[in-house]
Amino acid sequence: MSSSSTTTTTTRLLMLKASDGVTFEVEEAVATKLGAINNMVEEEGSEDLICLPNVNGKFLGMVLEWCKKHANNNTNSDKGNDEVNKWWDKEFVMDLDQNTLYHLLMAADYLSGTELVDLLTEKVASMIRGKKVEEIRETFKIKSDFLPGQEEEIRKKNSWAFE
Amino acid sequence: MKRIRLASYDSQKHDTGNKFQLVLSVMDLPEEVFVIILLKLSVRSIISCKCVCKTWLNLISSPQFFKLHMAQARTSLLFRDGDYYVAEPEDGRDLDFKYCWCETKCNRNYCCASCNIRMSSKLKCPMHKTRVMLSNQDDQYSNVSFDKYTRLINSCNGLVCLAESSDDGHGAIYNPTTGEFIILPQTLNNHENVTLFRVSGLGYNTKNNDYKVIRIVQRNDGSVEAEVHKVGTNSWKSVGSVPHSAVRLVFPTYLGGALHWAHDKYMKMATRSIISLDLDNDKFESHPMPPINGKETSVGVFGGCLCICGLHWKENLNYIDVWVMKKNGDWESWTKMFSIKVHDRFPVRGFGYYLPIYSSNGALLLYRITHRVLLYYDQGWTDVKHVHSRDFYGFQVICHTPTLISLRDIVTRENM
Repeated sequence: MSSSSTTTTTTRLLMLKASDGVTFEVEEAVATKLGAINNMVEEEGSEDLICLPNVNGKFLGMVLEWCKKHANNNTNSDKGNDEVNKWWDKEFVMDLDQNTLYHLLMAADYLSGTELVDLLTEKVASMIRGKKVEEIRETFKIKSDFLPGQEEEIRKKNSWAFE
Repeated sequence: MKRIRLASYDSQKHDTGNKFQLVLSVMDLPEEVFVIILLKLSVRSIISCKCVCKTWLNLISSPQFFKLHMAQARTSLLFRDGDYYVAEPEDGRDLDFKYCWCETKCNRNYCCASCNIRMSSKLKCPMHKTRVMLSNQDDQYSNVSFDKYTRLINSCNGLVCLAESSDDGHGAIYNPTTGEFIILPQTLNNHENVTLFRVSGLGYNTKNNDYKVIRIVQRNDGSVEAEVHKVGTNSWKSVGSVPHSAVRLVFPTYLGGALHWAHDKYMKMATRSIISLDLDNDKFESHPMPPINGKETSVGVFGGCLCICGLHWKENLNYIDVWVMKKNGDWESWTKMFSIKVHDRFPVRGFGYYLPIYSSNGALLLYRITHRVLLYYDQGWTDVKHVHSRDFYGFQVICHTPTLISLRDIVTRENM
């Protein structure tokens, strides 16, 4: 995705550098979908190289892909764009494995991409909904660390939730 | 070229760069991110999460979490037909009644094949005996049967106020989410000559973090006063006389730090009013009702504002007029929102209370108390649709926001 810029555009380009040295050249309107970058652009001004030592190139690329889609779709004021975005978001999260999902979520949180955090946390929430305790543990590979009897006690207190 | 590094906060926490080689699990997410996930879940799912592991249990049990949860908790419905049921959508979103009605012309009395809240999978909330009762009450109440609290008075911040049907002052506070309840203290002081104790509502005082129950006391000589009980204490305190010496304070509605009641039926039009109690200073106020047609008026909340529904008869049909106080606290700002036509098979002229239970995006759910049925109205419709459920006959229903607030904490004043 590190692009050769077609310099005829009037939009400003920003260079983003990931932890593994991979750089991305993106339009300002795209990168500023991320709150952290937006703040820096507003504070610092001028064309900059922005280093992001906490995000790996692979995930930064995915985050920027999402930003690009949303920035583009937001420029047209069609009413259908909401639907397009929703459909695209659905595709975006559909086949994410858990590892990628959490890496993306932490990257999005780190970069203050509020909308993306919302999308990704919703994905995790959907993996919890309607599941029994054992199924939740299985889904997330969590081992129970309760003392014997402790879990039963909590269940007893909230038995309505387990019927 | 100027270079900047974005490593502004807690780089360890978000160190996915170096952890790239690692496989992350949900447990690696920063706490505040995991909280966002939890807040998207229904209370029922949150309680399941509590049982998964210690880390989640501690997070969900923390006062910080239940404050966050309460701030964004969504309104649902609490039914009582002997047992208690919370109708909470599984995805934690607003209740949607769009598909939850039958045409009133429907031949069958009760059918609702496309019912969206699936009341058949209702959540059962049995009342649990808990250890939160004040210690000196333990013996006194250990054999109390909770079936006798048959009246749903109201719900405030997820706590439900219950009372006996006879007006002897017996009542309880119940959190259907945590299963806890406490019994209201029996009256001890000065109750000779009392003809009536009526538990009339539960409210919350934000300033002191107190939950308060209000009851009306009427004596042989006709005098009427109100008493306030702070939940967690063992006494009632008189707060003086009630405007219009009102005994019948109906439709308790908690909004904006005050409890509001309608006071109408047996009074002359001139004194028909809304009585409010400010829970900060325990002072009553009386406000005239807006110019509503008809006599039978109820109080509730519509779109975050105090609202009044009044029934009136016009051209052989009943109409419900819905009035809203546009600006909370501004008693001049009453505005008539709409007038809803009610098709009844056997309409009774201007008779019946229609209680506004729940509103969402301009749509309104009404509970017809006399017939114990639910009606749904959406803006632009000319009349109401009936909401039927196979499972509920003769139920009571109130608006209720499930919260994780613990009665134990209120009693012991911990984590408040």
